[in-house]
Amino acid sequence: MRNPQGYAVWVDPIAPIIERDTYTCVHCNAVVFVAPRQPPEGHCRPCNASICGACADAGVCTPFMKKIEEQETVDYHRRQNAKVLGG
Amino acid sequence: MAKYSAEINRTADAAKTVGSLSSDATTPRRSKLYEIICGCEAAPDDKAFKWTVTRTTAAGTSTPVTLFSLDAADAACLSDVGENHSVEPTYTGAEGLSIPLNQRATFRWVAKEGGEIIIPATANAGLGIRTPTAGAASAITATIFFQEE
Repeated sequence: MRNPQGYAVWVDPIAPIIERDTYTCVHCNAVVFVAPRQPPEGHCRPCNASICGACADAGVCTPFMKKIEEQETVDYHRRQNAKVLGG
Repeated sequence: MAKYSAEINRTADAAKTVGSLSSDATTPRRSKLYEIICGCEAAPDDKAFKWTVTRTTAAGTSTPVTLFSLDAADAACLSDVGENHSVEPTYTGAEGLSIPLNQRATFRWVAKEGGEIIIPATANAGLGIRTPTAGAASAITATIFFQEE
């Protein structure tokens, strides 16, 4: 695929080596293997990036980095509150 | 961003975790898993395995693994890697990486910048590496490479 985000290889001593490009879904951060000359499973237009089949079927744009930042903010405030309250 | 590697080992078991990578409980840092190499140390055989990498919200109880710093000048890693879990991690969500693998084969995945599996800077958040399909109780090994921000 064009601009793969990763590379995977299976090495078996009694079988041909299998190599695959990979990309990471921009919605769920899952790693997707792409067969040669095949397109990604899905594409998100708002993100302008490849997504996995499950996220493509969901049809909703929920960028993973946005979810990560929200989680980190919630956890940061929880830890700060715990410090203030002496927990 | 410092880079580290760790080797995790286990006798393959479909119900038990091979190893886990978790953010620190008090000073969590965002980490990015960018390479994994997995395979079996036992004599070659035609047994089917499936390796998975799944998110965890709690690390469980495990034997700590000594990390190898790729740059000796880097500070000590705050994230924890554990193996041989006596209490399983708490898993959440779907598998982020699913690898079918024959016992005689070795697998390697490496990510380019921007393609890593990200662990948020949330206390105890992490990744667990399992073999939900374990064709034999063989000695299996995985080496993971990650960077901590």
